[in-house]
Amino acid sequence: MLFGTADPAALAQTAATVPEFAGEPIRLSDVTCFQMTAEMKNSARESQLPPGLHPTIPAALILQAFEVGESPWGAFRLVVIRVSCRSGVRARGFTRAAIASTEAAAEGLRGQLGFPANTGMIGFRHGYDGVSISVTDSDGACLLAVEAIDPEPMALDDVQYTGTLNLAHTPLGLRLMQVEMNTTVQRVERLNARIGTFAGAAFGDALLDPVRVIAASVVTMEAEFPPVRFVCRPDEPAFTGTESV
Amino acid sequence: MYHNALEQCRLADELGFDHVWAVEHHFLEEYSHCSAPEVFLAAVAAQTKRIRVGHGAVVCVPEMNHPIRVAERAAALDIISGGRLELGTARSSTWTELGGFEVNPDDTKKTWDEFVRVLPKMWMEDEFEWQGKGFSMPARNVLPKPLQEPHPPLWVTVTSPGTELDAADRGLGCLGVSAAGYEEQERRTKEYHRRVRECDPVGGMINDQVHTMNFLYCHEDYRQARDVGVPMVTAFNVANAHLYWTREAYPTRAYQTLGNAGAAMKAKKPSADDPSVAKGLPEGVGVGDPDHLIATIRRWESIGVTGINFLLNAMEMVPQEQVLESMRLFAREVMPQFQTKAEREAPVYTPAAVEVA
Repeated sequence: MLFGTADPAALAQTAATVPEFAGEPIRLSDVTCFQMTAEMKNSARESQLPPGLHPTIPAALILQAFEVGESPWGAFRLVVIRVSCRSGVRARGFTRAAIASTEAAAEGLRGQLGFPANTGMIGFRHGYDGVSISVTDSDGACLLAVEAIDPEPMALDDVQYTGTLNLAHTPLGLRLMQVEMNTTVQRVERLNARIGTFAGAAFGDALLDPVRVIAASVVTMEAEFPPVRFVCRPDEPAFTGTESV
Repeated sequence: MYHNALEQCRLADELGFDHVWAVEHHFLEEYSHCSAPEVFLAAVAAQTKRIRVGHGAVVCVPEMNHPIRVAERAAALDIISGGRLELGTARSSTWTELGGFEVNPDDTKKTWDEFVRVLPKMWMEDEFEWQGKGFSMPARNVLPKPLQEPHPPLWVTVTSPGTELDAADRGLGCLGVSAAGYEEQERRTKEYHRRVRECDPVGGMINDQVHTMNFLYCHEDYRQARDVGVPMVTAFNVANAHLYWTREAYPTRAYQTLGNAGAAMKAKKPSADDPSVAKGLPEGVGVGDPDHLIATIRRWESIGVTGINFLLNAMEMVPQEQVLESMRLFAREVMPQFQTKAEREAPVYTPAAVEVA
């Protein structure tokens, strides 16, 4: 059986702190979400996940970029780097890095949903001809650059968003928070994506290396993060390590 | 593992089991190491006498299997087995496999449909030519021809809801490969039987059988059956879930569910007053003592299922001798409740030929 091998204590160094579990959903309006899936080398497979999670075959990275018009934290942009995984038999993405464009969004995402969010400069262009995403650090160095072209209309239910697992210091201890996202989709396009830059080390590990793009999509939608209902121990399989909050 | 599986096939043949199936999967690291099933099945065919040899399912995308080669290999297997071949068809539901062969997921339904329409013609016609999307060929006589007349029964594996209707419309047998519960299987089976009566068969027969996938571990003591069988089932489901499902990886109309993982997630909890559940045995799953298995199979039979394909082991978790003993006990105590000795010794049912328009 394949299990993650990352040390939870090492992962915890960048983990967010969630003082209390939110009781109300967090609603995001006027959202554009770009998602790209890519295969990673299998040498990265187990090492990017804590022992409570199982990798997929092949190892895969999921890049999500959000442009949000309205939220409790105002307008913001967000880039999330996740590793495809299984919690028990459920399809999930384990967050390795998150970059938000504003302090308010980074703080909200860390404190309420457990995203390990830092701030950075995010470029997000969505046109009729394609999508461009970029992340630059405070020194102006490019950490991520993705171009996606040839948008092709798809049906509203053609994109699958798997739930997110964020490792965070919670009132129950160091836990994987199961963050779901409910969506009301308005428009879906599939695109061909190309990666210009992906600085894996800047997102936590040089082994985070998307070597083969699988597909990309861009979706306009309304989104909601419902209150977190379950957390999992990072060092125990979900069958025994899942707790209700 | 291959030799254990062969031994199980020989014993199944001796005990009166009707079918043995070998899947086709690629790049699966933890289970189902069966990427060349036609080779394995040739050995099965040579070492058995009565049991039907299920080649299924062949992945019907040209990057993995050229249709001419499928027709040729299947016909050869049919001859070697003395006319005992069943041919399952599929299109794969994982990026693990499709991505490995650089298959465009948008195309797999189309190529599957093309394959199932051309295979019977390749077998039945002395000169066959084709101009299609997945492949084309000039007029040739595809040889050898299968031994069975008009050709081996054809099936399609059913993972996604709705594929049972594709099977019915084409007169293909319904080969369930995801562990659907009673309620979902009853709905699918009823709809399948309703539709298959009106079908336009792709070949020279209407295969109106419905088989489901299940697990088997039979022991006189239900506690031992549970302690050995349930971990095997769980391990299989977890390993199965590690595959990267096409729907997760690639937005497309062609894949609307998360394959078997989706089915596992939607599985209904059994009712608490079920006597098997009170013993800690899973509802609908072939793990338990003979009484539990008889009741379980009766229930499947009552909803229109005509056969159950049992997984006997997963990742070699159960020692081989225990697997064989489970099969022997099942044959001794359970099978006589459903088939007489004469029926178990007679040739296994196959659908009759129909007039082709």
